[in-house]
Amino acid sequence: MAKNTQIKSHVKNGSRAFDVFCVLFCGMVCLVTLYPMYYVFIMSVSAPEAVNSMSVFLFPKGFQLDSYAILFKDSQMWRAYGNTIIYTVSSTLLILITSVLGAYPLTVSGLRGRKFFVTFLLIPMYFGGGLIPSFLLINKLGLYATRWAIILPSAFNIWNLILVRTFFSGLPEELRESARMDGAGHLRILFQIFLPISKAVLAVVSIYSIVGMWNSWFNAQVYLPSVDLQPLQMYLKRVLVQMSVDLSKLNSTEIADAVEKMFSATQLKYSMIIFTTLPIIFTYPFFQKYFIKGVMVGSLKG
Amino acid sequence: MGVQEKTVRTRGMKRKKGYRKKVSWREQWELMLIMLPAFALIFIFCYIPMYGIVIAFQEYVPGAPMIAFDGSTRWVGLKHFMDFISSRTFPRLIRNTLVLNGLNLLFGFSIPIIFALILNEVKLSRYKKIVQTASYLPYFISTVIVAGMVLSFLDTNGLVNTVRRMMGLSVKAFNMDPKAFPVIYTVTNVWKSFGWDSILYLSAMSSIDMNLYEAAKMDGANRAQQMWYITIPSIKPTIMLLLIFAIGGMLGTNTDLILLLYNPATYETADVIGTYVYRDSLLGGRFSFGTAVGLFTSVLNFTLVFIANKVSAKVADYSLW
Amino acid sequence: MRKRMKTTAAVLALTLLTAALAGCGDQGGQSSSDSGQSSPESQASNEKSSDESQPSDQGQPAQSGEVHKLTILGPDPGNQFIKYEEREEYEVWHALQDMLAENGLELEIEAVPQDQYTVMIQTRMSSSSLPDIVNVSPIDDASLIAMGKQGTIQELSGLIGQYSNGNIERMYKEKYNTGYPLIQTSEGEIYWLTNLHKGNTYESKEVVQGLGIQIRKDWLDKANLEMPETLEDFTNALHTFREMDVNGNGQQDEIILVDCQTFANGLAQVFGLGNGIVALDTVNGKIVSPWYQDHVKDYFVYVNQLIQDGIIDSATVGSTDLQNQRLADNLVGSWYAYDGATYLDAYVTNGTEGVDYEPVFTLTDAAEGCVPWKEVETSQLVWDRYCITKACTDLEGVVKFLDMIYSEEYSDILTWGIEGKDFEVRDGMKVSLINSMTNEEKGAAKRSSGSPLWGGLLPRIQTSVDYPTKEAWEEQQRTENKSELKIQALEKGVDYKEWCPLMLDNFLAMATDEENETINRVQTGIQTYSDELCIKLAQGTASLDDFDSYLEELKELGLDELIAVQQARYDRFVQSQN
Repeated sequence: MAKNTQIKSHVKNGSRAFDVFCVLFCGMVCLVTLYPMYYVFIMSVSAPEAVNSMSVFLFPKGFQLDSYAILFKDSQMWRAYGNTIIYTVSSTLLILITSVLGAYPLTVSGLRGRKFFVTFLLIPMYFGGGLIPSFLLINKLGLYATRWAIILPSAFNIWNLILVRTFFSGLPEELRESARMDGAGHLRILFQIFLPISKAVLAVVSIYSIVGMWNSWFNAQVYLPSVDLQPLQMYLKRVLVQMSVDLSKLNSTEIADAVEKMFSATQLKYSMIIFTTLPIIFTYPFFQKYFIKGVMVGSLKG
Repeated sequence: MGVQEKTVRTRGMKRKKGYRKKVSWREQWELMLIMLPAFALIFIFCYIPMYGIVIAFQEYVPGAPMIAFDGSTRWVGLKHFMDFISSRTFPRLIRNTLVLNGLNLLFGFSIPIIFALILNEVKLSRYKKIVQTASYLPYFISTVIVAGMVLSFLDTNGLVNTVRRMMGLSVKAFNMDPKAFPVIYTVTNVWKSFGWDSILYLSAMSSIDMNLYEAAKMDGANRAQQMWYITIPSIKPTIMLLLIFAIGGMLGTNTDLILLLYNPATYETADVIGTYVYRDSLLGGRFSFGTAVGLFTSVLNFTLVFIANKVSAKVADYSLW
Repeated sequence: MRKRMKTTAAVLALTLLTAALAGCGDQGGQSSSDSGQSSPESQASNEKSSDESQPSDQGQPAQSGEVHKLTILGPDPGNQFIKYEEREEYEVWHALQDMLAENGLELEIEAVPQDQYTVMIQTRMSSSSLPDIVNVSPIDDASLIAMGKQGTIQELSGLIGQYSNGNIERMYKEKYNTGYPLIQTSEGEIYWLTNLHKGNTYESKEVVQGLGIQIRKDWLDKANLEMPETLEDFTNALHTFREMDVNGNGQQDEIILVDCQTFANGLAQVFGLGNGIVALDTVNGKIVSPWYQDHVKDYFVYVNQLIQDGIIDSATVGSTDLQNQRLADNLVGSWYAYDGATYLDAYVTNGTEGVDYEPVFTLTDAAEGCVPWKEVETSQLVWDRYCITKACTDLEGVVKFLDMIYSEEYSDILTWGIEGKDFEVRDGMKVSLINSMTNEEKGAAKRSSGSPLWGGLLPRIQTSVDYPTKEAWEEQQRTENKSELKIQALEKGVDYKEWCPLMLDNFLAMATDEENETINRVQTGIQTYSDELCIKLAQGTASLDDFDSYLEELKELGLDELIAVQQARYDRFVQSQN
């Protein structure tokens, strides 16, 4: 950053204008992107009437925290919170390990069958057998209705693996070669030389996995029939589904209950979103520091 | 200038093929052992269930074995594919899918890069962090809510029309206008995900060697030049990687979002393969048809990735393989 | 470097730990680690422990001494106040347990949350670990028949013939006389049984639930208007609402909600049009399509005019969100609902007092020689499907269970609850004591009939009351907080001739394989085109001048084939009734 002053003396006006532009532009972006979360927040605390008529745009209309109170009192909800944390932490760590281990060998030049391995990775990104065979597999493995049914299928992520590979192949080959000269094994090179300078990509993979896992519900829907093991997102989804029941498909004996549910869900969904996303938003800055400052890869070269 | 460019070039690019010696068998085994955990998991959870694809070629009924040798499986060959391709809505579905994805490729792909480049130039580090965190917030809001919000903005008494009224323009029901749909969809999509998509670029930029910039400054390069000659070439592998996959997603769309934003009045521009299959599946018992359409798009997408990769290898010197 | 190693090691250890913890917690919670069965069994074992105590409490074990254990899979009814998980606190649940014990039955019920059920059932049916009885409603008829033919689910007519005490047939053939053709294949096989519902009757006439246009009675009063009877009156009333700004918000924004992408919106029926792409013309016994009906163009001209006048806010078409928003904001003068619905007024939440939606029943004189139709939910309903899987070995037990379900006694606790507590019999008619309570009140008092508590897990057999006189019926309606106008509309519906059924499927015999094939092939294409065309004609973005070309396209898409198939099914249905 100290160099900044130096540069200013070189190209003064243009640079300052550019700085101002960047700051203003980012401010605009900030407003546009902060708004939806703000919107959800003011909807969650506004009076239910205002929420129903969707007339809240800039400031909350009325104020109440009833829907939060409902959430806080729900013990199932807290259990789901715990479940989500278990799933997120374990699968993120597993994804980090599998991605790093899977990616490294693919960057070693001279590896036999590299094309085969990469194709092996790419095919499942496009072709899948669908729900039923996956279910039968989970069932056969004895994972059905256990936490493993969520953790194991999410213990790897091909996209993340490819990301790590792309990053590794961007690292200077000399790093590896000189270590090989010293007689280091590949596992040691990976852990002692590559990983320490890969924090940026590891941070990205972590964020991707944490967010991906935090937001996921599909496997839980299929593999976890009992509410006790389900993650938070299943709750959120349940509320949203109640909202979107097609009333015209119900008969007269069912419709009154459905309308009742719909009404109770209108506001709950907003507080639920605030409640479920806040923790994840706060984890972000923790990882952010690993790549926003810039790791000086080059300086390690020497 | 040229010197820096070269320094950048040598990193991130693949070595020329001639340089590569095959590793020793011992080393090969060592490397394969390292890969094993990941590849074994992928094999188990992705490849074993893949036999399910065969139902695209049969009249599948849930509960029946997918592959039976007693003749109980009703094989129909390419019937479902033919049904789909020859259906009267097919050309429109393909056209809409391509248009919406084309727009998304144009904006959804470039905007995160531009945003990352500009953010990278911001020198106020705290401000930078706040902006970045803010930018990725919309990603966390469920599609249902985002769609509801967009519709209420565009409503006849919503924000957009209020502004139009103040400017003396007529009030319009945008959600019913087929011409407006591609715009609404693209803007919503970009809005929701550009911050999130920029994370990868920012991370790639953070690994750029600062010495390159300093050397460039010495040479009198201004900020725009630095961006053009250092930052962009440095993140080129990341850009190419994402571009290849974006092209490989040409026939898939954000179906959830479309389902929430469209209605029969906008089918003309909004009905895509995913939404059509969704409506069809509501009839029930259409597993085979759905699988066939899925397979159809997968094959095309995979082909596109393949082509994109070939082109990228030629033009940009970046290849997945 | 050393520090790095340590970090790595710590990370690794943490991973294993978390994974192990996850696993341990798992095993702690599950009684069994048997493949694919752990959850059903653990849940079942909870169930068992509560059930087992039941017979001994009563001291009345089944006479034969033999207990039939059955497993059941179904969706959690998911009522937000009357919760299935609190079932033990309800007396009616214990009444069910007693009834089961008397019949020598023991149930292990697995209740899966409703939002998961469709996916769950599609996958579970493919596995080998199936319960005895499954609610297979999310699976369509054709798939179920195919599953029956390959043995995944069992054929029932033989079993019923062999073991039944006659309850099942009696219920289906005598009480719900239209039910059998709907569950019987053309070869006479039965693969599933259903929920049955029967509405009230008075003077031996069935009270149907008509659907129709509802109008704000309080606004009519404010504007000094009578309840409209002709379409013209109605249109004028809508204009007057706007001109007078009856909601008093200073803007002429009073609107009507019409789902003009479908024909099932009340207005189309005013023009004598069917309520779906194909609909049943009950007067002539013909399957028709509104696209071919006489006044279809008149209808579109009318709707188009409403849109141009701003009386239909075209933004609300097909968007539930925006419709609810307009309702909440007190902008909606008229919409479409069940004639007897009492929950409509609650939609207006902006603090307005005295909101009063009342049915107009139907509107006449829409066009020259036009007889309005009425969409109607018939008094007998047959819906949802329950089947017996190949996993069931205790066939005698399962039929015994079904005989119990299709009995008067079960139907009583399901529909009414506990006699003396939840309902009384006065003058030979059942009178509910809890009908006037809201679900919230019922949940707090732990008083409910069986239906909200376990309906869907076990079949719902809902019976009704045969009121000897109209007056007695009216009296009952008043206790359910129905207004006089609603009661009148319901009465008019009883005698109305030009009706078409809301649930067309309840009038179509089961489709053959070829028929299903045709329906599956053409339905989505026609639906897409028809919905789109409806809305475009209403908006005026498609011109009525090209009407013939639209019909051409519909024919091309297979509309005539679809009509023919449904006609054949209807004919078979009628035949089997005689």
